[in-house]
Amino acid sequence: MKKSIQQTKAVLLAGLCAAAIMSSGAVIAGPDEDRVIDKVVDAYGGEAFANLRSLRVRDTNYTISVGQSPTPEEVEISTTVNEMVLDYAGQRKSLESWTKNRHGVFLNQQVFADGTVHNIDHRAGTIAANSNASFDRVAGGTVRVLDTTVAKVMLANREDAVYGGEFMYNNRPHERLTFPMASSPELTIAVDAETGLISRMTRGNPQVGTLYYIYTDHTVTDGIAFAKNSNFQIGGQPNSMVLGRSIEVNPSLNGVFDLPSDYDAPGAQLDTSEMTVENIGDNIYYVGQGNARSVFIDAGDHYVASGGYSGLTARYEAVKAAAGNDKPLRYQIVTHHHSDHIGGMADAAALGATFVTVSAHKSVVQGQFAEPLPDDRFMLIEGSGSLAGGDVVVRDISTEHSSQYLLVYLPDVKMAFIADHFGTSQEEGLPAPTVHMAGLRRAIDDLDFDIEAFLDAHGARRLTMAELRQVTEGFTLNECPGNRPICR
Amino acid sequence: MRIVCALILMLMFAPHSTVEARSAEDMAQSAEDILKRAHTAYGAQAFKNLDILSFRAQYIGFNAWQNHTTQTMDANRFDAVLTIDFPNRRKDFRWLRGEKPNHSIRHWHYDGNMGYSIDHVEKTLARDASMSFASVDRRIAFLSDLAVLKLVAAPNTPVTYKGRQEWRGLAFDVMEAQPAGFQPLTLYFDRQTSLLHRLDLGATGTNQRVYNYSSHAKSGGLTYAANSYATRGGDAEMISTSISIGTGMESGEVFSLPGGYATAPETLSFREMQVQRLAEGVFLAGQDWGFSVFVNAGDFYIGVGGYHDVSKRFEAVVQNSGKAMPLRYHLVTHHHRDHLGGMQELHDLGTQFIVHPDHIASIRAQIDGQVPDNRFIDYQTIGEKLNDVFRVGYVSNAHAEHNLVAYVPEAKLLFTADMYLSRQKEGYPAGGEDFYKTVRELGFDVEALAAAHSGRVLNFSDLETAVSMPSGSRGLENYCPSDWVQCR
Repeated sequence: MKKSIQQTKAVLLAGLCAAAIMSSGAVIAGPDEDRVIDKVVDAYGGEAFANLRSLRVRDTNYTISVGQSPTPEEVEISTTVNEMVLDYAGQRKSLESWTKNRHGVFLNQQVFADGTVHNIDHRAGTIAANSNASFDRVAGGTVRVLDTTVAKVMLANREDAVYGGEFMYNNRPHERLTFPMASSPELTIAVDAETGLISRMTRGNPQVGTLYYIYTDHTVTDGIAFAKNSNFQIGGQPNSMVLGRSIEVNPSLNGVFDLPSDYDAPGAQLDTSEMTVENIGDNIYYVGQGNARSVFIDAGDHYVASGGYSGLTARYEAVKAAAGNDKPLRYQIVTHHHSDHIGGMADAAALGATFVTVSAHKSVVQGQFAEPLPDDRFMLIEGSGSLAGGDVVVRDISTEHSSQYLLVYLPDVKMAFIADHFGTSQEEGLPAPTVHMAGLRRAIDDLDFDIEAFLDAHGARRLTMAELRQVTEGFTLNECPGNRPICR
Repeated sequence: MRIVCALILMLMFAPHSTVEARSAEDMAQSAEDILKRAHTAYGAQAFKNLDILSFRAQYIGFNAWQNHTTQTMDANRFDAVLTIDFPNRRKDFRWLRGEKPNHSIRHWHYDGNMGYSIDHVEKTLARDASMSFASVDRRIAFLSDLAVLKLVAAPNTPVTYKGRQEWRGLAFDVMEAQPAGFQPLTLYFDRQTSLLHRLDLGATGTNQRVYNYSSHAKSGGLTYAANSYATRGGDAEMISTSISIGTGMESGEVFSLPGGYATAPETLSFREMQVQRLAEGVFLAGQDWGFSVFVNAGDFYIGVGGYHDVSKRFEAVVQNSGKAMPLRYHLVTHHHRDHLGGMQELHDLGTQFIVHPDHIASIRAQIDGQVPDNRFIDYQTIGEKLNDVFRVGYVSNAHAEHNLVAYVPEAKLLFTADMYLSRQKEGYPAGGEDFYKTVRELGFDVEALAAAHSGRVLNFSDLETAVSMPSGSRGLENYCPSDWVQCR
């Protein structure tokens, strides 16, 4: 307790010094802006904060994904440890992230130094450089979940800060301040009028509206204040929660920005910027652009499709143009209920399609429409079924990714259309193995399908069954790739 | 064609996700075998010998139903210690809510026959006949797979085998069990490990609660899930950050009620629908935990208090008064979902909602189909429509960002949904300084206070007396008993 009081006194004293220093400097923002900024600087450590040379932040997070879970009634929870080191003096930054989820274990790092960001995949053993980067742009998401680093962004942009008045937040008076951040919509912070600590930050997002960052349980380490807990919310739903957080003020930077010397460059990517339609066999079309792909099967007087990303109508039109016909889309096979894979369901409904799905996913599909569709617009699969006179076989399999998942098998070409389990847009090489790949193989091995190749909803390159076996052979989960300190 | 396709969609293979057809004898045998294997997996003799389990769950709780604002979800830390005496059906539940030192505590106890609410600040014990072995812990026991299995293992618990089901790519045995006093529990046992991974409480829609168990560990010869989480209606409700178990810890003290505590005043139960006439044309109606005020405005009624069964309360008032008139307006106090439980009923009655504009989306979400804009009236514009028999006040406080309260001049009555109430036969809530200040600031001439959760009307003089008393023990509002493991 005594230590805490001493720390608080030190912070206050340092704050007064910093306020004195800053009040003697050039005042560009208005008086309210300067007053609030100075109050925040005081609260976060005063001179120690203003002169912070470097900071190490270690967060353990839960990330909660809604709409990406194995069943609609569950959520998907990932655990991530982030270690971010900011070298303010040298304008260098490192963010290493160790994530464990049902896909597997992932260990990635971004290192920014000398104007270049290096993207490192420690699991795959690859490193790629990108010179189109800046100190402010790198690791912005992690910077935003910590109030202390947000306050540093505020300080760096004080000239452009705009005061937004007083308001009540959590039943306490707060003041609002808005300022820019590189590669981000502007940030608006809620500053506790009494303590000067940041309670909340908001920023706009064109797709999902306002994003909320909530900072609570502030404490002080080595004279620098920070929120022990923070959570990030999208659309009123928690997206990530800090479970544990520690900071180190002006830490040793030895080795932090070193790059691995024995890693390979990742494979080159296929150019997927244009819509392409590939005719596979007489009546099967594999179509897509970017990371959104579908398969269309010409069933004589209509099409059967699978692959539900948004932009379905554009893919359908591209197929019709390539095929030279104008047949209706009669069946849309819904691979699974994940939010990204039902983004095109409104398109399919407008095109008059009947949805082929499982009963557990019906309400999720219905949720894509302004008004529920009648029951006769749904064909519910129980176990297995076929369409197009047997040219399309649908099988309900269970994987870690989705407890019920409709695998689409095309016996004429011995191919399966799949989503999220096994795919790549790299020109060469194979993706690193995941739990999902192993689960797909296990599920397929139980089937009597003669699958030779896969068409993927995301990756443009066609992979083979032999490659799936190669990737997953002897697969075991490596809890700590590269035996890195973050996961050791 | 659709019929043809439906015929084609016959099962080609045995469905993997539906219950296998088995004889009743086989299924009974399976249930017994599966439970035996599970008991072995959870510790064999140690599991059999386990009479008293002490279970500690530290978790993040999301309160989707009662957030402070409509934009974000409250996410709070909880630390619960639940001790269960299985043979004697006793439970002791100690709950620390919030991060220390900004926490509060709750202590509930069930001694096998009677429930108690223990107030360590006021040093009182309140007997609660409505409490049971099942309900005393607010479903925290379901965060423990070990506790669930012990409940199911109790003699004479009906258990049925529901079949084999695949979930997350693995095969599970699905069982239904109904321990005495509990609702039916659907349990998912991993076929390979016999460990419990999932519990479904059976409700549907927004009330569907599912518990997930993972990271099974061993302690004292017992197996338990070191991670668990719960969802409600597909949204995260509780996510554990740490789980630990003990056997018979401090059981002697835990199951003794604290000595020297006074008996708290007897509580009211309100089991029957009751209508109180508070003044000419002013009625308080309700049952259990849901109460509303209805005011005769000449040729229509105005209501406030939106708990479910509001239409039953209105009907009771109409019968009591003998005046059948439409319920033209209803004031929606705030956005908490329990207080929106009657919105569909009000919509069906043709009632217009008097609202804070920020709450319209929350109300719409409770009503099937489209609700036209003209069914909502901004509380600031209501004015003369209420014939001066019903006034609306605005309050922003810690309970909710926007609250609307109703003042009925004829009865000098202020209706606040949650702000100040008592379900005790005598006495009144301690404290209330903030509420007292709120009432003063509203400027109404208040003599009586009603709320949504009690049929007892308090006098304003009760509040004045409460706030004039010395703060005394109220200074201990963040008190944490030193003998609680959470407080050490």
